[in-house]
Amino acid sequence: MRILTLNFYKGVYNITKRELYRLVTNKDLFMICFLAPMVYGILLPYIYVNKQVDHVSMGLVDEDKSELSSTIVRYLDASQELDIVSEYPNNAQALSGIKYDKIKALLYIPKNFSSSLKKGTQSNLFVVVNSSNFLVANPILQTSTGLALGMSAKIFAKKAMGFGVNSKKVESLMNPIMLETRPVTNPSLFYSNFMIPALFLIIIQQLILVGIAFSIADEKEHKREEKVLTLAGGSRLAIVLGKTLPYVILDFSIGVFFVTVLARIFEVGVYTLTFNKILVLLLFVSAVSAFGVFISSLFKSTLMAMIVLMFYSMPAFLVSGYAWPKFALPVDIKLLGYCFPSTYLISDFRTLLLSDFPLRTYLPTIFSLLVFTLIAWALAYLGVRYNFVSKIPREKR
Amino acid sequence: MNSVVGIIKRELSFIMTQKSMFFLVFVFPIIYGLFLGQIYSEKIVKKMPIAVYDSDNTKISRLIINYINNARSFDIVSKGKKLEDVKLDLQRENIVAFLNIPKGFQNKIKKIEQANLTLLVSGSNYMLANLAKTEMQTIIQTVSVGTKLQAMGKTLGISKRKALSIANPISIEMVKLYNPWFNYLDFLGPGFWMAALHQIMLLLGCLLISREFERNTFGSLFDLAQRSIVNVFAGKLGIYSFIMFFIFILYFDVIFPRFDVRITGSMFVLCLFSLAFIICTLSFGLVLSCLFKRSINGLKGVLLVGAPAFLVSGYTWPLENMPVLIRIIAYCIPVTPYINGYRKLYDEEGTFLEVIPYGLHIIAIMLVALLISYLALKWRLKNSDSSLKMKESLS
Repeated sequence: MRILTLNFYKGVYNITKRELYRLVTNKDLFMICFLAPMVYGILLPYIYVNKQVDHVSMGLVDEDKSELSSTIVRYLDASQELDIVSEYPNNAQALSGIKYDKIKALLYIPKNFSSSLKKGTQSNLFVVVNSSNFLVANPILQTSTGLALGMSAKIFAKKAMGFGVNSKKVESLMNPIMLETRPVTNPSLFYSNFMIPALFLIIIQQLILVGIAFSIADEKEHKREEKVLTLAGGSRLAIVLGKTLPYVILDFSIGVFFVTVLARIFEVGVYTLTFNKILVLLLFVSAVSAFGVFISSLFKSTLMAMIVLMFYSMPAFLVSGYAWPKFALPVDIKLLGYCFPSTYLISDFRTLLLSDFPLRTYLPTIFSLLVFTLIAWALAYLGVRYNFVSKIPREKR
Repeated sequence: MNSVVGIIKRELSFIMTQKSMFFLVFVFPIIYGLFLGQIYSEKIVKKMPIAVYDSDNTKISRLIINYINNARSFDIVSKGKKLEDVKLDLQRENIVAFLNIPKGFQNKIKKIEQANLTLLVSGSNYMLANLAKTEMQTIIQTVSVGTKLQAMGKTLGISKRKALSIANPISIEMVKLYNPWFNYLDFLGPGFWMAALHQIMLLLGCLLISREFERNTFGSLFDLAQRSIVNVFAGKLGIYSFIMFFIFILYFDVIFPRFDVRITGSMFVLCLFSLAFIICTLSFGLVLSCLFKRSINGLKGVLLVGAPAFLVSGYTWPLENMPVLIRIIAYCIPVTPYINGYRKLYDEEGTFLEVIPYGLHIIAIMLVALLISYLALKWRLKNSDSSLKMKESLS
């Protein structure tokens, strides 16, 4: 068996050494493999440096002009989530403010709001919100609901005590059923903690694929297949290993940098490098590298490789079940998702970064990723066999 | 004019004869659009798997479980298991949440003492966590109000009607404009469609000129254009703008209705606005094409701009919450003003007046892009003329 011979390992060594040299000397590969991860790794998470949507602009129409309405406005303005930026004389003008993007929501306090409360009748507040963007609408809805409940509770407490109910009983009367919500990971429910782990993984995946596809397509474009095959001692498996090893080493290092240094800078989860993270990263970059070798067998030129892979990352992210849950994906899309390496890891990678649960939590993922990796290696071998064909007759090699 | 028409014909012939080009321009945008829309075809997240542990097993606890069962958002996949038994499922996100109803729950309510429920959610999925939290709060609030009114009647000796006005003195009425049911397809689908088309157009723009130099056909093109850069641009941008405009119309007339996404604003304004965006994006790609000798280098620029374009556009994460540096980058990319104006038009019943600022922004980017392209190509031609003259004088 060739794999047991010294020549085989010599071939792997030659190809690896050559690929490492190309990574450093080829301007395109250097940019893709070294510069791009740094630029994307810093720039994209930086978008979410504020962690959550806050200070959403709100307009006010206060027809009541009472002490209570002022209190309500102060309460809302003091919250981190909302900012009362403009007061309008009427609803029509305020709605116009929403239409022209001056404000995202409107608080309308009708006339006789406080006098109705004094009379003991229910009073209504109105919040009109632009819900075309959920990330903006949610804090408005939650904060406004919290305001109404909070103020209602205070008024209720006062009235109940007026009926001679003691303060302890008032608490139970006010909220007979208290729902305490505890997030298991991401306790503050920061959006940045949700997005940044995915960005890390997608960046690593995309750049491995583009780098490897570019490298192999470049060999084909410059008709170096024969040279590479000779260097590998005629072994295509040596080519597969030799071509992928540099990317595995490089992108594993980049992955470690992301989950430790960048995770610390952007305050995402647990920054320490644990065995789970090492294992999962190693497996992932290995899977993606092999997948990249297979994919590159489909391209004749570097240009085609770049063009096709340009459209890879968005679908890969969307079908992974990361943002839109897997149970809500159509069956055909779910099945398609299993063709992308990121699908196997992306959701668990998030919990890995945020909480780093014990290894057994990730065992099913590790197993499925391992199976995918083996399949990817097999396909990579077939791809290389197809592309790296020797023109020299066997007897003369 | 004749030269522009000649260039258009030449380009059209190229597209029709090159399979890959034909696929990229006509077929791929449609397939991509259908594929992206299919992902969110469920529109609203329904049947989130949750686990419930009811150790109380009383009328009120069963009422709560009944409400959860009937809610479209939840699917109770586990009822009798304690937290320790479902902890792994929660960590692995096989379930979105775990609700614990402790023993003595109903008793406490009867004694008019506060009864607590605990909801553990998998917080790493922001969207599901928030949805589970909000929906469960609504359910519990509904049950809570009922028990509250009864308790008040007992404690305060007042009628249910009076109790209602005291229990909830301030009621807040939410009016959600434009996407009241939080339909994810309406929210994200159109955004992803435009991001994809933006990337395709950047790519096409990037290949316009550099491809000609790589194939050594720029000379014949320039002769056809009567040696006018403006004619070259007019011809090249003209044909691709027309084709992409046709693709956009297909999106609005076929793909949008296919996925039940309505266009609430003026279709005419949307088409006009989109046309400006098309020309702008192609011009942006043209800059890369004129600046870089090799298409591959232009493509790197497309990757650099196109890949983060959707994220920095402000379509999901608002621009106001981004750092200043990112916002500056975002304002330089055509998709940023377009996608925000376009949402106004398709989702917010937008009018021409409302999208004027976005339109002017797009036109500004377009003019700057065209100017840079013109100067870059002129400089390149001047350099290649000088080197040609030097070669001739040396020989």
